[in-house]
Order: sequence, then structure tokens, then C-alpha cells
Amino acid sequence: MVVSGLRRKLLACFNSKADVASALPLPDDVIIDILSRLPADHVLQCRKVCKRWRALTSTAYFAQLQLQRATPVVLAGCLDSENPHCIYVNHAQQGLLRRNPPQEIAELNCFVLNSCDGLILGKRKTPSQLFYLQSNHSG
Amino acid sequence: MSITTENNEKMITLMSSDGEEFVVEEAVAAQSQTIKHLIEDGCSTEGSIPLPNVTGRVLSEVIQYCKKHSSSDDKEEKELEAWDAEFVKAADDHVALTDLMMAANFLDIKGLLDLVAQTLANMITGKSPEEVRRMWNIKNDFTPEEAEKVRKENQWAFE
Repeated sequence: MVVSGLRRKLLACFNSKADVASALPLPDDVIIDILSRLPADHVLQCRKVCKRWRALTSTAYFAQLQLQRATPVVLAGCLDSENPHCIYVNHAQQGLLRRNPPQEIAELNCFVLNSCDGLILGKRKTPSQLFYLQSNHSG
Repeated sequence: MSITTENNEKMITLMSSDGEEFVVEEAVAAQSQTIKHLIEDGCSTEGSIPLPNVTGRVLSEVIQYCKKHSSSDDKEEKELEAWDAEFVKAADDHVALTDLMMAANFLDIKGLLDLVAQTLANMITGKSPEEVRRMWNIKNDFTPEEAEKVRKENQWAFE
């Protein structure tokens, strides 16, 4: 069997059973495939790994894939421009997404008015204001 | 090389990067979209199909998976799930799983890709960025300033 130079190189990489995985870098699509299955807060942690991982997880394509696959995580954005802030809801409370509106979310002191595809429209009790929730880290 | 068994099953030969040959039913191998296309292009008629990205060790695991999944149409889904769980457990560590993931990616076997990717995702859940870097020998290429910027970007989510 003739083994070409490139093939020999590939062989060397794949046959070295080291402590770390293959010496070849993981292809982009493999990284995206794995990271898109993580809950959003873990995706954010993985952005700190290296520049490439950060770039790969910052695209609209990735956000869409992650939204389809991962455990829903709810982020709340408050629309009150005088007091802008974000509220983070842990994925442990994912049951919220399955409730039929209107529902009170005690943790956030608000009501859910409606929801669609992970996007939730809610109303705060005090002070009265509308807000939206999105089950997506890049929302 | 294309031969036929007594049961009239068409057999093909796959060759791993380290020269190991595997004779498998065409229907089993064709679960790989890559191999399916190679067969359609007539690659299997002139000797074995070379798979330069997959070692014999990994290829034998992949074939094991394909065999199980091609013969399991009438089996209980639960049984197959349990088999899958054992299969990834047997792969033992992230190094073997990563090899399997690379092979499933190259060979384009969706079921195997989903299974292994989810297993690896579960593995890195809860690990620190440094632990994840060590798993895949990734270099931290952020300058301290950039690292601080990324930390600040994500900070709101953890408050």
C-alpha cells in the first residue's frame, strides 16, 4: 500500500494516543455541534475558552441552533428605559415556559401575558410595565 | 471489491487509515452518507473504499453502531436507547469520544453524531474554561484585556 505524505501525517495524528484528544484541532462544525447542545449559561462560559470558540458561538446561526436544541433558559429584558436591567432566570425554572398564560412568576414579581417559541410577553406588577423574555442567550 | 453473500446481501470493503480492512453489508455501511455517496459514485467496484481519516480502532466501533442501528427497525426504541448509552459508556473518555465524533462527522452518520455530541456536551457542562481547554489541548489566546472584556460581556448573566 502506498502511503502518501499527507496520509502519513494524518496517521501519525490519529495514532498518537495522548492524554489529550487528537492533535488535529476540532473542526468548526464539530465545535458548533457540541456547544449548541449546552444550556445558555454554559455557552457563555465556553466563550471564555478561546477566540475561535467565542467567534463560533456569537453568530446568528449558532443562536438559532442552540435555541432549537438546548434546554430552555430564560433571560428577561426590562423595557423600562429609565431603569434598564436584565434578569437572569436559571434553567432550573424551565417549567415556566410550559405554563399557560396568564401566569404569575413570583420570582420576578410579574405576570406572563403570552408566549410563543420561547419568547414571552409579561407584565410587571409594581411598577406596572411590559417586558419580554427570550429563551436565548443572544437575545 | 463488491461481493455478495448467500443471503444476497451486497458486501463492500472499507479500509481504515492504518490499512485495516472491514467487510460489511452495503446497507450497514450506507448509513454513512459519505460512504453512500462513494458507493453511488462507483468507488466500491474497484477494491476497498479508503477512509483516510478513520483508524481501524474507531472504524470498528462505528461499524458496530451502524450494524446495531440497521438491524433494529423492529426493535423497541427503549432497547436501542439503552444500547446507545452503553456504547458511549464503553468509549470511556473524551479522547475516544472525540475520535468517534470526528469519524461520525467525516462519515456523516447523523444518529451517531447526535449521540456523541450530546455525550461530549454533557461532559463539558459545569467545567471551567481552563478544564475545557485541557480536554482538547486548546490554547488560551485572549490577552488579559480581552479576557476581561469577555468576562464583562457575560457578567450580567451570572449576577
